[in-house]
Amino acid sequence: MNAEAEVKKEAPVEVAVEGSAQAGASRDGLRIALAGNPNCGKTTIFNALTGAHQKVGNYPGVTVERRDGRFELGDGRGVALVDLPGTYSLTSLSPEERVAQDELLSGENDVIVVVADSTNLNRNLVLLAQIMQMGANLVLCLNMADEARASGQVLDLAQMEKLLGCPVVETVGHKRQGIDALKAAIDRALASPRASRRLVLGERLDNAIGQIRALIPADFGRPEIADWVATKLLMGDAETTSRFLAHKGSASAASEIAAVRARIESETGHDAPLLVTEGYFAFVDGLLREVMTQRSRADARALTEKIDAVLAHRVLGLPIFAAAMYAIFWITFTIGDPFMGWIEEGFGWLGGWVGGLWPEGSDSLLRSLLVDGVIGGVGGVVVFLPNILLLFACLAVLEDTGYMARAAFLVDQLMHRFGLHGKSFIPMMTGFGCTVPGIMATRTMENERDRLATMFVLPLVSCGARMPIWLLLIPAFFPQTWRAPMLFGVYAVGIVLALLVALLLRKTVLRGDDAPFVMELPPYRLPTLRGALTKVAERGWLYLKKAGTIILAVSIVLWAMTTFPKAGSYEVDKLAAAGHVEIVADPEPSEGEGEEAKEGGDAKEDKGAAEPAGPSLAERLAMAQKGEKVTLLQSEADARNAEEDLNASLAGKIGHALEPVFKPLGFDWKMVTAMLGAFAAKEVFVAQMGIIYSLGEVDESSESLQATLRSDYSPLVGVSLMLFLLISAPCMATIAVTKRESNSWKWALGQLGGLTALAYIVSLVVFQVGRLLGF
Amino acid sequence: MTTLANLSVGQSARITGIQAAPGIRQRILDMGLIPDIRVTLERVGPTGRPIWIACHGSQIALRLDEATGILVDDVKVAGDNS
Repeated sequence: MNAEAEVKKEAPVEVAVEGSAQAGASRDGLRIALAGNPNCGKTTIFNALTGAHQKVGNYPGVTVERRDGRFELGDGRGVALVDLPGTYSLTSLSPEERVAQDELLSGENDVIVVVADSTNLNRNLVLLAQIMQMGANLVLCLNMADEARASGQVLDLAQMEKLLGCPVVETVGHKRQGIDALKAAIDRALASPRASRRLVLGERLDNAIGQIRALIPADFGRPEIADWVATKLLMGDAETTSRFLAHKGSASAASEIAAVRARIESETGHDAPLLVTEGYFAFVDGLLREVMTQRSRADARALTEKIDAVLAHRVLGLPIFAAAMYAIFWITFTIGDPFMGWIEEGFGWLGGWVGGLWPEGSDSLLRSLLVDGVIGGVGGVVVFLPNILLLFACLAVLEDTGYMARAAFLVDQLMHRFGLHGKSFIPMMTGFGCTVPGIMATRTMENERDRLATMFVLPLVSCGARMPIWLLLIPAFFPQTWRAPMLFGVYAVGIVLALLVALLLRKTVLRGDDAPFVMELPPYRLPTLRGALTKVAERGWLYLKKAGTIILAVSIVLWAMTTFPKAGSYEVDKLAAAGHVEIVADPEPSEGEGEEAKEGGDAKEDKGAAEPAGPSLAERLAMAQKGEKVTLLQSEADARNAEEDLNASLAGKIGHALEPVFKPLGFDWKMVTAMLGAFAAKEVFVAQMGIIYSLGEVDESSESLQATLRSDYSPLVGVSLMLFLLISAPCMATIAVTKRESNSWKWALGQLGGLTALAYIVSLVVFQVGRLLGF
Repeated sequence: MTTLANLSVGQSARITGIQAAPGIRQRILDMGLIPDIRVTLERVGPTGRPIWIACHGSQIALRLDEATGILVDDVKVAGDNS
């Protein structure tokens, strides 16, 4: 237990400190914080208040922990709004709770709005009681009031305001009901600051807290939070106590505090933390007895229970869960397909149109930059937007209904066996979208070892950025009927490896006690269209933004690396000069452009299938080298020259230099260069493949990358490549967030090195064994 | 001594105390699992664990390890506990 306490102390609070410092500096007016239990609908209140003014900030490094927004009060005054992570209490167990506690104690907020789930006030109001001890200027927002009313619960709000000494309003966040009343309540709280009542926990506790408060030096924290500090000292909270002991003039006080605690514990026969917690619950109980004029009916949860009887069923639960996962991949692939085709055509047309601005056969660098670098690179990534949106829509539905918690319940035992935690599962589900918020979501885990293990293996959960890679490679190598199962398979391999690596970590560097698994199962809720669309739009926008910034920049850099330096002199020219080669104009396309481009693709790589019309380009060039006279089409000569340029370019040189290392895995130098780009952002792999192949292409507008891949590589290479991309080096953003969340470069670099080494081994074994078996 | 881990599905009991390491204990208490509260074992996971209990109108999943630290008495078949 000691070890755990120690790790806890080091838990990263860096972000919180950063955050509040920033907020303090930029403070130019009113500032309000939203606090509440997980799942109380805090974020819907945040969205309803901030509306369109909300700053979308969920991408790299961004806030799962707190979000900032702005809104205007009725009289037009602007307010900065901070959305704190949902916490049950403020006993600083998990890093998330610390973020919330630090913000609430900072004294930076003019008003603290406590959002409570009206259908579960017994537990939700405990947080309110704790915040009351911080002397904050409060507003209580009773959210999901419609559900509570439907269950028959009736509250006397006026009486509640009187007893609590702060404004109380009812809201229905997702329907935006009661938002104006909430703003008015905030206004009232601002007009009469610091009006909330002092919390009454019963005579015995109040006396003990009073005695301890008198022992705290005046310069230890703000006077408003004295009750809170005294309570924490009474409970023997490790962090507060050690901070107190480090404070000057506290030595004698410490022993007196211990005496107060000993007295109350011997009088009651219970320990202080239990007494205080009971005190909070008793306060809420007493309050509710006074204000709840009618309790909710006993059958309020009947529907949820009926659904759980099936979805959380002991035997049926897991198969249903697996089927749901499979359905998501099926939807992502099948429904996204036609939309994808349209966008692809759109970019093809755009590329053709932009290319057409230059005269036929022009080798303008700007044309190449725009068509190959920008449109080829960014377009290759944007094409997959429909699939990404569908994936996020499915995840949003699972999250919003409350099914995720059931899934965590069902898989906990399995996760436990691999040294993980049922709660590891939720970051992993988030990781299907993006690894970065997934790693941030590990903050909900109390045990540092579980947290580190989950963080380490999270990149193995295939993220949305890798979806384009699968969508490019799977159809390139596998027939239609195999595509959805292959996609499911890629995800499954990632998850199995994640479990195995986690087990290995927990048996070696992260050996130690298991963390507790205590998790609430919220009632099922119908996801609102608006809620789901907001999430999907937010993610979609971030995806496009990433395509327009990081991926655009990396595409241009990679384009430059694949373009410069040029080869300078070309084999074909030399042979032509020597009179061994005659170049003739291409015949007019007879069966459409696609057919011809296909030939170009084959000719470009030497291992293409034998062409029906005489010897291949490579064979003819070899003949020419021996002094025979051969004929080349203009397009063939261009393709040959382009390939020499690619070989001579910086990317080509790097790729060639690294090729021997990756040859045993079945990769050629072109794939190697694309992989380097993937480290910046995974989608870049697709962009870079697009650039490489479009540069080498004779006719940019027609040939699809997938057809080229199919003709150039075997499915075994495809499998080896997908495995490598799934397992290897996570992207830069992931490394950065792992460093920040683990507070350790060693862990972040270990993740980078460890996963890349694992990827190499897996791909090597698969490719070599596959080859022996004759694939 | 009877603990929450000894209940079978459908039984309810009254909590008498929590025995666990301080951090875990506080988490259990924060969820409202405090002495004198009645809890009902609603269902169990695929392998008989974790367990799923109802208390205070909310539903909570717990591992058996935690449940063995939650001491209970007055075990009844759910329904006749009022």
